[in-house]
Amino acid sequence: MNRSREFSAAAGTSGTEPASGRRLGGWSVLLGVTLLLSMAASLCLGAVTLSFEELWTALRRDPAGEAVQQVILWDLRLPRTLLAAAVGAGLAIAGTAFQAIFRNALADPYVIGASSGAALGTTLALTLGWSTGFAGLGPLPPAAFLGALAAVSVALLLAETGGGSSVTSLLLAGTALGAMLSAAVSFLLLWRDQPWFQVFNWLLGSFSGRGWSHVAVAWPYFAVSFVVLWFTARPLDALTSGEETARSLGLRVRAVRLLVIGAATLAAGVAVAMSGIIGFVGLIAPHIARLLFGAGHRRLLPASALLGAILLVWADIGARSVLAPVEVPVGIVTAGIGGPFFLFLLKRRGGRLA
Amino acid sequence: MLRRLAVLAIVWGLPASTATVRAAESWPQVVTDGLGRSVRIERKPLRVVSMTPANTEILFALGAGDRVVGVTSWCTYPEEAKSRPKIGGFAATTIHLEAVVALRPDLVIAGDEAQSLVVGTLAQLGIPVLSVKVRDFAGLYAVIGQVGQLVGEREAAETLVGSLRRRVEAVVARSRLIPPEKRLRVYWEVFDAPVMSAGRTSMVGQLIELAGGINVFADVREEYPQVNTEAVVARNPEVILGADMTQGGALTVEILRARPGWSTIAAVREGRIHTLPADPTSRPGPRLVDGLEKVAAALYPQTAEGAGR
Repeated sequence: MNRSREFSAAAGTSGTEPASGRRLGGWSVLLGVTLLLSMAASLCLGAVTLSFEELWTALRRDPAGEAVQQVILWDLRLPRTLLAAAVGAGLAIAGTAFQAIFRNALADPYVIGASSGAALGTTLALTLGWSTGFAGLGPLPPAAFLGALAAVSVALLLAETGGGSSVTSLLLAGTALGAMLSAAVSFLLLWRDQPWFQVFNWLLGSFSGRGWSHVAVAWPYFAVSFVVLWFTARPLDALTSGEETARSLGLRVRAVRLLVIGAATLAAGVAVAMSGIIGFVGLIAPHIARLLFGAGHRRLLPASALLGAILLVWADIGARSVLAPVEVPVGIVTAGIGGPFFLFLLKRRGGRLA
Repeated sequence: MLRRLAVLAIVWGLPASTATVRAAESWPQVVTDGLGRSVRIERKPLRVVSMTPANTEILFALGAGDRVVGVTSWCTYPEEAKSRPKIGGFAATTIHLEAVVALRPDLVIAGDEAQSLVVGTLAQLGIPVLSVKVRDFAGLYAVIGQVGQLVGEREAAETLVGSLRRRVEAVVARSRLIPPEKRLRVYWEVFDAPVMSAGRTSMVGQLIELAGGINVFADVREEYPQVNTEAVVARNPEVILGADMTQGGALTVEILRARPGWSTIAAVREGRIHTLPADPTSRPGPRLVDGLEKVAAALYPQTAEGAGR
């Protein structure tokens, strides 16, 4: 929180981490345990409710247990829960990185055009009848990923060449691009009379029907993104205190920014590719983490990831339990829970976040 | 959602058509339509525009096809309908109002609330619009009667409704003989991504029940809900039905078996998966009865054959 202290820590001029380091120890254990408990709850709840005993029986593949429960647990719920946790963590680290690099509390993965890019990719794949899959997945995930990547790249390019304050111009470029892409999506949908629910499903996010193949595809990308961001944690701290300061410390600002944006876009794009567009997690998790642990990214990134995972695991529990056997898009749940919570935070902190 | 609210809000005008005085070919004709509006036709319509595929099928089935001067781009049946001028798509936002007006129709037959905006605008322009809403077979008979009355094909409508009614009753009579323990649990896949099925009140839900099947999602109030795949696995349907939709094409054992957890479902294990033609099972027109017969034949082939089909 204290900019000058963070800054000196970032610059490597002092090793003043022990105080907050202890705090992280206690909190991270608590967060880790909470995540495990949340995932256990996620394995028990849903269209078919399992008791803890039934869960245990099914987990051990005990032949005495009900076969259907084993199938539901191993083939459906476990991969789905793991994927929700991974996507939650991925969105959270992407949000953390974007907020740091743009020094803007609103810069979550979607403000900078990634969401509308993914939506356009999906819609294009649908309307043009694109049917080439990737890594055992359908055509929509890669299309969403490519769309997100393209949109963020274009926004970045516009901002880079625009001159002036690059942060503001990037946010503006992302917003303007987002509006254009949304218009293109609407046009394509009207033009081809597409089944709205398919696109709708992507635009609001869902973990319905996701299996081990998704988990297997998603984890490595999130891991790469996390590791890259982890190693840029110190430069990120410096960047947070301003580009001028960072530059005066000899940081290659542009290179760091590109690296961080690349890693964050990868996490956001893969998240969209796996589950569609899920809002608020990338916005809220970093904020809560910052409240708990301050702004140092060595602590912020893992804490944010854990919080994002917990949030999305619970949101998915809600998505498949509230109207069971009917599924609610998980984006509705995250917005329903996340929106009010965010406003509450905003109010409590007197309109000042981050 | 909006549609459902509107359904609750509007008492359908079906009884009106049956209550109308039986006067053959006398004009003007007045009916109350599916939106509760009063529709008045001064003389026998010669230029009719259809704004839904089902309406187009009804008009052609009544022998009024040669007076249909405009259809939607989705109107693919009968073959002849394809060559008629297009007024746009099926969704209200894709209908070209100017194209409708330019056709100088003396009667427009529209869909339900989904098209209510267009209906309102056309009515303001002084064009008579009949809005139809079909929720079940009784509703279908009533709408055919109403359309027949307005286009001056009342006798054709009576004949058509009579034959449709007899065919539906034949299916129901056969399915009634199926003992409860032999009734099959049916899962109908409306769409694959997201996985959507059909609730009890939906037309598809009614087709399953009338054909003697047990819809595994009969407890869902929503018409076409996105369902949880765990629930599909847990409810273990014995037959899986689907329509040859534009997207995924035919449902196959291979496709279903590849889905996480689905290989344990009885229907998948035993390969009892049928793909039915989409239009007759989704368009609320005369061919809906074909759809019902196809569902019955898919579920209970012996029974259907035994009845000489």
